[in-house]
This record gives sequence, C-alpha cells and structure tokens, in this order.
Amino acid sequence: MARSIDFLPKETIHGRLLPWVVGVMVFLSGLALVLGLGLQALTSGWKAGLENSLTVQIIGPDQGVRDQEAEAALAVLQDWPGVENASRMPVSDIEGLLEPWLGSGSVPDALPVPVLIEVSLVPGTQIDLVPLSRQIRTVAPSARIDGHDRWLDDLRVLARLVQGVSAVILGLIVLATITVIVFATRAGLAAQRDAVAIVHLIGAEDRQIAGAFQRRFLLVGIQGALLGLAGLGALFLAAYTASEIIQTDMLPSLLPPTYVFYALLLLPLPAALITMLTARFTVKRALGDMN
Amino acid sequence: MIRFDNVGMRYGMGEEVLKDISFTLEPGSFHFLTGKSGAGKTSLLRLMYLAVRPSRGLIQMMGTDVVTAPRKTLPELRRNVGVVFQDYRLLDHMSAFDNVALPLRIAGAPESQVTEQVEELLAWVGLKDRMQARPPILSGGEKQRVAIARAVINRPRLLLADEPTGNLDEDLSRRLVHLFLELNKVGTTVVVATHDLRLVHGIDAPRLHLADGTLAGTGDALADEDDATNDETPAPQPEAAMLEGLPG
Ligand SMILES: Nc1ncnc2c1ncn2[C@@H]1O[C@H](COP(=O)(O)OP(=O)(O)OP(=O)(O)O)[C@@H](O)[C@H]1O
Ligand SMILES: [Mg+2]
Repeated sequence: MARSIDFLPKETIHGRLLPWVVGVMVFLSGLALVLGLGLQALTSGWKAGLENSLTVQIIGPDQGVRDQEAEAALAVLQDWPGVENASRMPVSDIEGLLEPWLGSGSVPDALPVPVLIEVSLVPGTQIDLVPLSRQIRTVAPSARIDGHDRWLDDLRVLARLVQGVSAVILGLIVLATITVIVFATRAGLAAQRDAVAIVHLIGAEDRQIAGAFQRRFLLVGIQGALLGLAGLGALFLAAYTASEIIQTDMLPSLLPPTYVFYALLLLPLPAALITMLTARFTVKRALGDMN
Repeated sequence: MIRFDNVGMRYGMGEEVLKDISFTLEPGSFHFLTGKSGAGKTSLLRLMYLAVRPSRGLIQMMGTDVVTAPRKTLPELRRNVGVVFQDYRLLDHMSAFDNVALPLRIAGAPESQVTEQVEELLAWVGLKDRMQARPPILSGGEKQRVAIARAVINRPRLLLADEPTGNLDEDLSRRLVHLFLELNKVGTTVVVATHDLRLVHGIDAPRLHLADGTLAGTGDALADEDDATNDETPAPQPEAAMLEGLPG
C-alpha cells in the first residue's frame, strides 16, 4: 500500500559531487580500518612470540664461571614445569647479534660475551618468574631473567592505542558523512519543495516521499562506496608493487593480513545504510516539522 | 460529506480572508462556488483539500474532524479528494501520462491498471497524442486538461475544481463540466469554483457565493451584480449525447 513512488526528477537532486564526497569518506574509513586491524594483527603476532619465551643472560666475569653457571641454570630450567625447551644460544649466533656493534670476525677474548639461554614455554602457560629466578639465582648468581614484561606491556598499550585511535577516526568519519548527507538531503528537499507539496496533496504518505529520497541516496552510498574501494584498491596495488620492487623484509609484514581486505569489501554495506537511513530520517523529520 | 461551522482563516498574521463560514454539503451534491477575484474561493477550497488549517471553527470531512486530526491520517483523507488546482500544479519533469498516473501509483494500483486507465482518460480529454509531453511544452488548456484528468483518475469521493475551465474554449469547457456531472451521478460530491457565469447558468446546481470572505448565500436565485464578468446570455442546456464516451 505504501509503495514508494519516484516523483523526483531524473537529474541529480543532491549535486554531482556528493558520490565523490562519500567516496572519500569510504576511502578514509578503509585506511582507518587497515590501520586498526592491520597494526593490531601485527602487534598480536609479536606478542604471541614474546609471551611464549624467556631469555636468561649469564654475565659472570670469567668464562669458566659463566659456563658452570649456565650448566646449573639449564638444569633448573629443564626441570621447571611449563618449560618446553631451554637451550644455550651458540656463540656464533651471539657474535651475529653483536656484529652491528663490533664488526665481523670473532669477538676479542678480552671482551666478556654473556651466555644466552633461550627458553620456550609450553604454549598457553603462564610462568611466575619470581620463584623461578630465585631458584636460578641460588645456582647461578650472575643470571638475569628477562620475561619480556616491559616489551609486552608496551605492546599492549600500543595495540590498545592504535585500536582506540582508529575507532575514533572511524566514528568521526561516520559523523562527517551523516552531516554531509543531512545537508544534501535538506537541500534536495528544499529544491523539490513544490513537487513534495503536490504529491502530499494528492495523498502521498510521508514515508512514500521519504522513500523516493531514500532511494536516491542509497544510490549515492553505493556509488561512493565503489569509488572509495577503487581508491583503496589502487593504493594497495601500489603498496604491493612497491614492496615487490624494494624487496625488503620490512614492507610485506606491514601489509595487513587478508581478512582485513575482506573487511574492506564489506564497506559498501555501512556506507549505503548510512546514506540511505540518514536521508530517510532527515526527510521524515523535515516533513513532520512542515505542518 | 463536508461541514463547516463558523470557520475563520487567515494567512500568517494577516486579516481573516474567510470569516464565519458555515455550510453543509451533502454527499453526492454538486455545487458551484462563485465570487469575485480575491473573494476567497481558492482559500475555501484549500481548507477542503487540507492544504491549510483554519484559524478558528470546525471542519468535518467525511466524518473526520480535520482540525484536530493527526497528521498521519491526512493522506488517507486526501486520497478521497480530487483537486483541480487553479494553477494546475503539475510536476514539470514528468510526462502528462506520469502526472495523471500519480494518484493511482500513490494509492498502489498495479501498473497494468495504471496504463489502461490513464491512456483511456487522456484520450478522452483529447490528449492522446500529447501523453509523453511534459507540462512546460503544453498549452494552458492542455495543462488544464491534464490537471483535470489527474483529479478524476482515482474516482474520488469529493472533487474540488478551482477555475477548471479558465483556459478552455466553450465546447471543451462544457465537455469537461459534463465529466464532472457524470462523476457526480455515480456518487462523487463536486464543488466547482468559477466566475464563468455561462458555466453556472448552463447547469442547474446550487451556488455557494463568497463576497469579501463571507458566505453571502446559497442557491442560484442570488443576483450576480458583484461578479466581474456578468454575462446574461442564456447558456445552452447540457446534452446527454456529450456524456457518451466517458471512460467507464
Ligand atoms: N498564500 C497567501 N498568503 C497571503 N494571502 C493570501 C494567500 N493566498 C491568498 N491570499 C489572499 O487571500 C484573499 C483570498 O484569495 P483567494 O486566492 O482565496 O481568492 P479567489 O477567490 O480564489 O480569487 P481568484 O478568483 O482570483 O482566484 C486575497 O485577498 C489574497 O490576496
Ligand atoms: Mg482562486
């Protein structure tokens, strides 16, 4: 009964630029999503790596003492519940870690190189470091245990910060889009005031009139979303090509995981919903005020 | 069908353009609404087609008190009212066909029925070849016929025509007034506002006469002295033959 009727002119009622404005909004929210989801995936990857490991450093002054303490510490660690594996890092690996500072070639004997023990934990276990380090200290006084706590805390803060910032950005984009659509709808309604008055007098219900506007703005939303997605696609293609050319280990890890791209493909849905519902709501409110 | 009780109406903060209007129109009646230019004919019709609300008094339409009726009940009432506006009020970006189809589409009629009825009616008012033309390129009389077709396409219970023959030649005027008469015969209540006295005299129907915003009296016994276009030539009686070909 309340079928919507298309009584609006075929020509644009909202200005030709509006789909582009919505397109920019979709593009920006895509970037915010990539920032939020992508960095979150990155940090949680790091976090998982750090959470399942410990490092024990033995920094005694004398090579013999270090070896002796290392043996004792290893024995304690291997028997500790929750520890999956503990092993001494080969000297060559340690020299590799020091290379940027000391240059290649063997480290001078005079320089005490600490012993590093890498400990991996059974996935999912939480180890209380206090009793463990007390136990190790009794057999290896110069041992220092690093549970990566500082790093983990920093990462947690970073992840939450990035998430929060991208949520705020998304919220602002949605608000800005709604505002733009409200103004465009009001302008369109004002321009079509005569036509609206006529169909009213012929017996059209408010929702039929709102429906006509809603349909136009749904189209704006879809056009805008496609423009925005095209922009995002071009951007990622460029980023991907750049990472291929540069061939570093850094860039590919900065590209977000694939599920983020699927999330982006869903963007037209909220875009269309927001433009459509905003237009409908604006028209119904304006008509309600008219009487 | 319509009851006005002590109705007064003003535009904004201005003087009352209608004062103390009281009358009752029975269902199925046919009335002329006469009066000088500026007497308030259009304003009275606007009250009846619910474009404005009175500043005082009581208006009942089809059993509903329209002064207090909630806004969302108005569309249903309006769908029972066909209006020929004095200034046509066609949608300029739509073809004649789509303009006439509008009331049917708003009421949710199936498209096959829309096509059939609109084509038939437009052919009947002599616009068979102008169906796809838009109002800006139609002549005044053609626009008027489109406006009339739009007003009657839905077979409204109440037909309000504001100067519906102002741009039509005598033959066409009479033909269209007889369309109104024919609708009246099948139950439509009709009010025709006009100062075309040939039209008034040609048809035996009571008159509501407005002078200076008040209802001066009813019935065609009333003198026409205050009318601008006084024309005493007796108008021909309506011929039954003219009613043939009315869309059924
Ligand atoms: N929208 C409006 N705002 C203010 N005053 C108006 C408005 N419309 C009409 N009027 C005034 O109300 C009075 C009645 O006007 P109305 O249009 O009802 O007369 P009318 O009898 O239809 O005249 P006509 O035969 O020329 O069409 C006039 O004095 C007119 O100036
Ligand atoms: Mg008038």
